[in-house]
Amino acid sequence: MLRFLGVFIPSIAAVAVVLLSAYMFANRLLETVPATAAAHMSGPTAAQPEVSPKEVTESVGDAYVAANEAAELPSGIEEVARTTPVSELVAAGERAFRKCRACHQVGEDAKSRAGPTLNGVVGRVAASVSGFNYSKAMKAAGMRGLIWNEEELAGYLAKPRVYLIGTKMSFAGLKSEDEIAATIAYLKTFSESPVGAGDGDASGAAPEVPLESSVLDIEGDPEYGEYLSSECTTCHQADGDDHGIPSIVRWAEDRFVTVMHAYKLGVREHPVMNMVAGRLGNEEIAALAAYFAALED
Amino acid sequence: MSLNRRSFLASSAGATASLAAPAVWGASHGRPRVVVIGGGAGGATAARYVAKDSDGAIDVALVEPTRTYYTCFFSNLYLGGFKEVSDIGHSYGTLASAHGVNVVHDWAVDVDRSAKTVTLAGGATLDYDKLILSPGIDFVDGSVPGWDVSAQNKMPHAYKAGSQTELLRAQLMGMKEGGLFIMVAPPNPYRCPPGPYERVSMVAHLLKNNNPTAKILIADPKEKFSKQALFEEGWEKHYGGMISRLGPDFGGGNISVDPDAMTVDIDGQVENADVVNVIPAMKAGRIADVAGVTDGNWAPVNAVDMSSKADPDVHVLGDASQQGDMPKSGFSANSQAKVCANAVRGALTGSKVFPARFSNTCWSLIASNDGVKVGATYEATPEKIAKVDGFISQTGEDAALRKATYEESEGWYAGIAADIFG
Repeated sequence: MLRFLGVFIPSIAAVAVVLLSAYMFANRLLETVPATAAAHMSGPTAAQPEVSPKEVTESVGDAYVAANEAAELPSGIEEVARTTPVSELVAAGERAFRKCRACHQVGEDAKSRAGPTLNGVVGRVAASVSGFNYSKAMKAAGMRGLIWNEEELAGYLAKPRVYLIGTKMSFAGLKSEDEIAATIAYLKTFSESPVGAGDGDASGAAPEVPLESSVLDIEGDPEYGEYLSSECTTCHQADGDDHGIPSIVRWAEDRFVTVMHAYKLGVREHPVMNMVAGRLGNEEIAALAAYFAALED
Repeated sequence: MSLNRRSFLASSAGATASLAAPAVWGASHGRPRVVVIGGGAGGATAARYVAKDSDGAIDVALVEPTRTYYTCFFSNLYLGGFKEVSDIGHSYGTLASAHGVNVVHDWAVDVDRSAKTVTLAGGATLDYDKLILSPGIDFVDGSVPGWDVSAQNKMPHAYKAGSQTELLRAQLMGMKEGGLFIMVAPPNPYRCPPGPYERVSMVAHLLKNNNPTAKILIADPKEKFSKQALFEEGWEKHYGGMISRLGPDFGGGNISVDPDAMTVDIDGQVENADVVNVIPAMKAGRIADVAGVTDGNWAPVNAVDMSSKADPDVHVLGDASQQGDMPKSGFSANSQAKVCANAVRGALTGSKVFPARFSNTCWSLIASNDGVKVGATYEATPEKIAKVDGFISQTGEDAALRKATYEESEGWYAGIAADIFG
């Protein structure tokens, strides 16, 4: 910790980063320690080391590094991917994937173990392997439309528990950009319709209902949305807390509209949501999407 | 929009008022005044939404005698041992600190509708431009012969959550081995239609673990009740043989009690009981009667804005109101409060008034991880709040769905508590 402070104290901005990192870490600790403990009890990940005070200290630094490098990471990955022949990348990825095999299976007959099967992971919505008991954080990420495109996977594989605070995956992360690029290339071979580094637009990647662009393009009235939202906030907490009922704040508007129409049409099944969405018109859904997308803490 | 309200409200509530009215009037007199009586699911929600959404342009006072409000919803889960009493207690601090509501811990004892004033037991008087009554329920005198409020420690009602609920749990915990628990169920209409039957489920859960040879008898004046098929299926499955119910065909509607002797007379048959839960017939909380807005036991309202049919400047929410098709529930009261708050704000500040929409869902717990629910949406018609569409859990649902329903109810509780109390 002293070393860490010694390096970063000189600028006020860096102090702010340290505080942010510490905050991120404190959150992460709260979220992940029980999850990690649960993973330990469940078997295959029992080899994972306990979180020690030393790691705790270093993790604060990790958070800083990850935050600092996040912007550069994808371009580095692209660089590796562009300059290495595909077959070599895949072969290297297969080697790198050994680190993942304790928990994840790919290929024929792959099943979810401590981690979900990774067949088709590239391009799919987070937390979408049915029957797998994802962390709340991962489910929430899926609900708000996180797609495992190459960019998102690269960020996640570098520092899983920083990239997605609250994930159950107790893995420190892959060390080098080469390894990450190779692993993704390898995983792509198990994806039927691999999606390239996309824009993260969930509604495009996982259409639950085909919506006319005239419906998606309706500009919602946030004031009307605020009034309508009071029906939602009886169950869904306005501050984004999710406890038994998913958070619906800060979703991409298209995603929100798509999901609500899926409930309205019964493509997604949930009696309360089918009932509530069933009587919302297109304008009203757009208004809610606009209001909740802009809501902050 | 609402993101900036907290800081805005904290720093410049007074400034807003002085912009709206000449400063010489003084800020507090320049603002329209709303008085809310009753700090439960209806009243606290209404106070919060009027204050929050008016950005300090309306002076909101909430009159509620208790410092900590114990929700009736989930109080059965406390009886069953799934919750601590502290889990269902809520204070009013956030309403005051984050939304600027003037929380007055006192009883409202009189309403003068021509002078537009509310008199408190402590002697103070509050002026209002709009009055929102959300007093919940009181019991109909003499509805269960032999029982009155002086007997409530011997035969608790536990239908206003708090000390009564704790007392009932203590009596159940101390019940002799193989003892008899009798519930005297209420006639329609009453607060929380599935409530008595969820309570029986939770008592059975408690006794199954602590006192498995104990028996439960329900004396019920109603032929049928909310979620009946679901409860009866669950009782058979989880507590087979422990629970019996006598409906009106078997004298369940002809009840008297003797609290000193701890006996219940069911249509001439005297039963000795160890614990008796008397849930009498209900009526609107007394202040609604005092205010002169009741017709019979309840206060009729216009569906469009929950205004009293007797006075457009008085609104009545929740259990006390006679509104049409919505069940008397915390969820309903919360839903009605938001429609009312929107209308009140529109009338006092000219803010946009959106069409009324109401909804309700009631979750009940039958046993560990065995949750069920019933819900509906409603609209305002000239006559009443009318049901539009609804759903109910089905018998024979698998365990995973029932567990998910229970977990959802936990989420709902956290959500609605935040929506009511901030």
